[in-house]
Amino acid sequence: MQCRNICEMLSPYIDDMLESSQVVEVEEHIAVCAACRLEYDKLRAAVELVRGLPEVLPPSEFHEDLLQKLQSLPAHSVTDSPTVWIRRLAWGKWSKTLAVAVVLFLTIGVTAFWYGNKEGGLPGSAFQLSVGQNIDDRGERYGGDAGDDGRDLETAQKTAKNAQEQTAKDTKATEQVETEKNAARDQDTGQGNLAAPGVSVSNKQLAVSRETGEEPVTAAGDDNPGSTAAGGDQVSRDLVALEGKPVGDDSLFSMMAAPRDDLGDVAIMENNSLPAATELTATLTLNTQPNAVTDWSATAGRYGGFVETEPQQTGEYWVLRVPTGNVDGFIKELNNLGQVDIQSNTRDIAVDLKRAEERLNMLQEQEKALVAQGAGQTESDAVGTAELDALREQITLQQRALEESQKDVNFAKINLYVK
Amino acid sequence: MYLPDEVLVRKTINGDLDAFDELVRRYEGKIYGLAYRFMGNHADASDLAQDTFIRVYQALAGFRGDASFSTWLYRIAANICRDELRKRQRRRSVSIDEMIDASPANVPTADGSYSPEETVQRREVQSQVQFCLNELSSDHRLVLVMREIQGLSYEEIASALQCSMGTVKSRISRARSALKDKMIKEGELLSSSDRLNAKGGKTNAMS
Repeated sequence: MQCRNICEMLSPYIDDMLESSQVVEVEEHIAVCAACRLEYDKLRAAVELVRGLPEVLPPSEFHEDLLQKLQSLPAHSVTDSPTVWIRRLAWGKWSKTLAVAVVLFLTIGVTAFWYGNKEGGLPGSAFQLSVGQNIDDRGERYGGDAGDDGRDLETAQKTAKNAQEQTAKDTKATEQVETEKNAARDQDTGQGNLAAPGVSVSNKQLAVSRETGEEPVTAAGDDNPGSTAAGGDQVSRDLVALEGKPVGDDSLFSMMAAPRDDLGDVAIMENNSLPAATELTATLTLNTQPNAVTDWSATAGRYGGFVETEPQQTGEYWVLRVPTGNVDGFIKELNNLGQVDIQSNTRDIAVDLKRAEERLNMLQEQEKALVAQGAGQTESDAVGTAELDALREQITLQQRALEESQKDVNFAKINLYVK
Repeated sequence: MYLPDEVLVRKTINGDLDAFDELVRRYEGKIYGLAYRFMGNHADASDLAQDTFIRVYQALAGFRGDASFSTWLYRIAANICRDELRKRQRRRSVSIDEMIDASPANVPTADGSYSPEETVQRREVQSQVQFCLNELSSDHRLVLVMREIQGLSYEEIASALQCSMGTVKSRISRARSALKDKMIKEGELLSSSDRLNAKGGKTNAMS
């Protein structure tokens, strides 16, 4: 093999775009030919240097400037543009809706799955446990928060514990609900759709609680009395739990409510954009004596935040997490302590969030399909169960990833250098 | 709650500017980054990225969906970048050197793992790399920015540049070779790179 031919293959070799036989050729050649080896090293180094260039973000005014230009385009003067602008100004409110929507999304997903499960006659206890576990983890993760988050943490842990203890009882309750529902269906033969009621009820109720801000009323099943009564009651009790008062019997739903609980109200903040992760780097030159120690945990705690990592040695910095809506207040407090120099960085994670949700959705679909299949053929149970468990593990992981992203949206990361 | 690009495109065509706003949020970072690395400075990057989105908005009704929205967006951005350079070469009003910002852009905010000296050194290296990129032909630069910085696959690049996979393969190969030669000509860049890489620079998608 001539060196010239090898050189032509080096670039696709770097990108893993060669066939396996060609890969062998290249590797064997550069192992013995010093010139080609050097050529490869240099090429690779050049590529790495370009890949190592930092990401360049558009300046903060870029987006607004562009929108203004778009608004003033003559050909595309969009209908009722004043309304559009008013709506844009109200985007602070938008973001609350978004946070609620995440809860809603999970609620509907799991509700649909729960009903689907009952159809298949499986209790889905493994899944319930995994969700419970999940919340336990969250409790720990946010457990470092100072101050009044303690109560929330306790609630979350109690809820998770309840969930595990109640699993067996739930199975029984499930059967009971199933019987009730069957009876209802016999009476009300026009409505064959079993999965829909739960979904529509939860939908409606969440919508009510979101719009009015009051505790939802339990009469949601009104216009659909027969088949939705059982599901409606369950869901409405869930919403009571959502307000921070877990009720013993409805472990499954109160678990879903927990995320909102333990993030606390501060987490649903005045974010003025779509999901974006904010990162600030602040250098603080203290007015006071250098050896005067500031309790950053308490300071961040006053703004609903917490210390993520502490500096281990000089030259390192504090990583604080503060709810996005409270960052301004926190910065003001920093200004009182000394001279502050701030660099801000906002990373749009809408795409990441979307991917994570799509994946979660897909996994839950798969799970539903698997459960539906398993109902017909009991002999392949062992194989099916293992597959289902693996799938559920993935779902839990995915939910965690989603929570992580959500945390980046809710809590700004502040890298704080103290001089 | 998260709508696919194609749904947002349809809503935009029906007059929903909020839908387009969402599309812009999704891609402005990428398109701005492409324009910045292609032109080498913020002023031009801002202009070109804005032009890209305005042209996309105006041409949206003609988007047939034969490629994904993102690929189509890259295609328009690539055309705008190339057109701009062609215009300038005709006018010859600005030399390439002047186009590059004196200071390297948006060096990531203070990174605890580097000392101040190392940070300064890295910035210097980064601005040299940008300089070498800007010395390449526009085709080579474009293909390298798409591949190495934006991490697009060969297929995506072929679709964005409307050429065959074979062309993309050979263009990337030649562009890398040209870049390597420039870096060698620039002196220290490649000899010092080993040390810097060993420290673990940001690695983009390698696949």
